[in-house]
Amino acid sequence: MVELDSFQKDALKEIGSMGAGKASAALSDLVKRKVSLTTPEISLAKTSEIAGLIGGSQQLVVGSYSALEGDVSGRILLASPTKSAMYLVDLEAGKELGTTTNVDEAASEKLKIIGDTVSKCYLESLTEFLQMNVTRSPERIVSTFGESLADLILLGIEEEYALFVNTNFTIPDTEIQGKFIMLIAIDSIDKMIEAIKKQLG
Amino acid sequence: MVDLKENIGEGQIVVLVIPNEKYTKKIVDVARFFSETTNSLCYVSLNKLYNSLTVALTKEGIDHDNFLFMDGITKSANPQAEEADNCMYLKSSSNLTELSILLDRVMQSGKFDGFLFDSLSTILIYNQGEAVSKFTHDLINKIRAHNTTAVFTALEGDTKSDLLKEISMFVDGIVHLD
Repeated sequence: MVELDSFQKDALKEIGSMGAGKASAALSDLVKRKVSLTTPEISLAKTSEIAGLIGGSQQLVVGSYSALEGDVSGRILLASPTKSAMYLVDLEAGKELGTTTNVDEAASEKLKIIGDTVSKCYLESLTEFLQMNVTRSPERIVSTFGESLADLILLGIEEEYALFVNTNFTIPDTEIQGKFIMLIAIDSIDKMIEAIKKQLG
Repeated sequence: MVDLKENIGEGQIVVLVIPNEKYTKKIVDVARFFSETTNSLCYVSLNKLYNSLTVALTKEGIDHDNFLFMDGITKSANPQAEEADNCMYLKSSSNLTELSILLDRVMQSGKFDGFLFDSLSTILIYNQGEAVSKFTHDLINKIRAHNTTAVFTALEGDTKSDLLKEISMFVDGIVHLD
């Protein structure tokens, strides 16, 4: 398996932090509120251990999900408890919190826009800084029980190890909380390390 | 602790209200109940991916050879997911019409003496209570016509929803798991 030295880990952490920062700025623009982030947790872990790293709330969550392809293969997901997801839709539409009561087609489209914008910004640090070519599948709205988020993020990932970046976010004074999760399959890590070396010398 | 065998009689239709913090364990207990008390089960899973679910059931020693799964989540995330012999993939968890047509076909086959719907809480995310209520009422009528033992799950947070109040009139019981 790939071993990361402390320099490479720091570089990946920095890229993760930049991505999370851009993503939160994009989310903040969309919902016109301040978005608070935790420091991204970055781990190169066995895929069987990722459920423990993600944790996941004990409630139903709604997520906007897309697959990463190109120089990097993986998954990216913006997930929030159901109520938070509906509040995000309300904020994006400039409506009073609590107006949206279910994730119907219109709400689903709003969540796709939010997921698309946030994922795009999240990935920009990777694609711009490392000059890698990464494409995303169209956003898909999915729901699952919080504890099963890992199953969803690992769907179709066959590798034994993966790079996992997890950032929790909240929007103060609204009860909105959620996670940005990016998972990169182990086969892509070598390419990322090479790109980091190339960029940082 | 609630004994499922005492609370769900043959041919009965019951709503199980599951505490959020125990959902993952309790859903396995419900599957075990069906594997021990029915010959064949139609298992509608809108929360857990078919692959993960079957791995979890196998790990718990639950024989699921006679289960037919209807998975509403896998293809909504990955439309290219591989087909499986004992699983019907729905395009999404949100489309009540698609779900209704497939369930109608399954019920008409008369092959199943057990039915597990997991969960009402999930379809309530995507649809208005009124539409879910009509869907559920129609489904209950089909289940009754075949004398199938059926469980609908709901998370504790939905206990006060209008849907549960309404369907409590059509089912044989609402059981709160502890």
